[in-house]
Amino acid sequence: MKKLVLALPSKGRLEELSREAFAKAGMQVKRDGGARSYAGSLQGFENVNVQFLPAGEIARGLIRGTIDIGVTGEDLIHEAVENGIKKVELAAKLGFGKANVVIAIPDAWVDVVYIRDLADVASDFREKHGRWLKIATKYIQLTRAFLAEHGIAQYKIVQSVGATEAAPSSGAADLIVDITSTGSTLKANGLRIIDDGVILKSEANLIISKASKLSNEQQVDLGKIISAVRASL
Amino acid sequence: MNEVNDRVARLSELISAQGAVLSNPAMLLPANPFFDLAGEEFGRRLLLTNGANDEDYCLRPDFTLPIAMDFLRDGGDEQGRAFSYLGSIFRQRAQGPVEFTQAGIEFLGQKNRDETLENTLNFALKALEIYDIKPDILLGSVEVFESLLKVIDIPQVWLPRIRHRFGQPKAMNRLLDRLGKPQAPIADLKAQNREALITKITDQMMADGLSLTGSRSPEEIANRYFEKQQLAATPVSAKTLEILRAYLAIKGDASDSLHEIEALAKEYNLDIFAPLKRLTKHIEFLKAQNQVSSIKFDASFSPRLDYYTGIVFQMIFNSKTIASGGEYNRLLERLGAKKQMNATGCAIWIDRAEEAKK
Repeated sequence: MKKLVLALPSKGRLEELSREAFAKAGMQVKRDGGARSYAGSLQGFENVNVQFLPAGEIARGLIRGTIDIGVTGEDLIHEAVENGIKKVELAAKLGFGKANVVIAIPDAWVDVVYIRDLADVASDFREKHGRWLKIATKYIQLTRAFLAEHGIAQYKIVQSVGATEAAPSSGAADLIVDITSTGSTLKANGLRIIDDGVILKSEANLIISKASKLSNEQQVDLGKIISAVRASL
Repeated sequence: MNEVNDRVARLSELISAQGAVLSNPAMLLPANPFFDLAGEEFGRRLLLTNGANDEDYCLRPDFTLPIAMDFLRDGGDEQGRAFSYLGSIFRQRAQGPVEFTQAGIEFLGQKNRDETLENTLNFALKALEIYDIKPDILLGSVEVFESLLKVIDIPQVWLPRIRHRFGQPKAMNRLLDRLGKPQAPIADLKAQNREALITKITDQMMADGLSLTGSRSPEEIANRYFEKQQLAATPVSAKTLEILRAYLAIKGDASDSLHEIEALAKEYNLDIFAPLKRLTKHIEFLKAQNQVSSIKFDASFSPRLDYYTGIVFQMIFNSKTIASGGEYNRLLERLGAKKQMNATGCAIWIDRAEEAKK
């Protein structure tokens, strides 16, 4: 019989806190082969297969339906594919891994305080510089949706894979959209969050796939896991 | 199926009969020109792929751009040329197919704008006639709006910002609200004059490792800072905003709308009569065509691309846009033409026309 697939982040604080959250809900997660192993088990649930995976991989698996339930950040669901959020159900906010996806500009842009200021800057930019305003980010879907909502169309996204906060000083982009928990990395790079520039308040969530097909027994296990986690919060 | 083929054959015949060169641009095209021209919002609809040299390519999302680029590459004929097309385009969608059949026509570099626009409208109507479609026509006019901006009392710096929001009613309303009741001035930077502020911004940019020339310059930032302070002190006049709001709200039957615009122009003494006269002329032309179901005008209607210039239109059937087009006299310059050259054309969504036929 196919086992219910539960995916948890494979490393760092996210792994620890995810396992703690399950322990608090009365379910011990065992990582049988130690920190290098990607397989685990959930105490009291014989038919649950625990997989330890990178958080981004969990988001994609939930959307595709290859993972039935998992812990990952809401931001990663949005970013995995367009409308990814419609393909999953957020079952419980877990209270850790809190971080915001924000628009940050060079602090020296003293004239820009609100998104509406950025709209003016974007409108004027091409005329003045002969190119579009460039925004470095790995949050392409979120950025496009947010700016479209604010009527800003005159910009170009520069895809960033790492160290997005360095893009303005390296000249790769004029401003960035990035995730931040304390804002200190942005500050250290001379960047400032636009006052109404929080695109998404994200945190670790227990998330259910809408794409996976479950047997009755699996449904029961899924229901038990969700109730236990919810009851412990 | 035979009927479908028959309609395609009639369409091909019509396309060849336009005195136009039948154009068939490559299916795989460099993606950058599309991003440069239309920005991120259109860019998200591209079907992208990478070359080994790290250049992005896309499946042909549209015929206008490659045809216009070829036209310029071949020297951009002074007398103007016409091109027609029939083939597949590819666009990303949330759901449903991504390959569509489009037919259309492009008049590039033609001198007589009115005649060219009539030919374009005529072509679209004839093409839809093959599908027994009597469309509702929605007209917009970029040139009436742009000439209105020239004659109202408003600081120059706001004109491009207002123009960029044309065709986006929500964003436009927000901007007009802001111009009417500006927020309190931004934090006083204790900079008494422009020079002092420029120095301060320069110092900060240097300290943060930012290039002074690669992006917004200290002067540019300082200018906009003072411009904001000034707007807070003297907002745009209530009368100007009233004119803009009243104009943008005009929509409905085309002839009624024309009367309303004329009344507005007379009331506020706005000299926008030249583009209005031109609009009237083309409405009259459309009224004389018997395969038109209705003609509507919407003052706030425009494609969201700023190379559109004169009259723009959509042909609608069963609340679906079956054909769209208009005048885009800034397109060729955007693509590198040395001087302003006219461009007019339209695209017909053949799948939707075929759907309507069922």
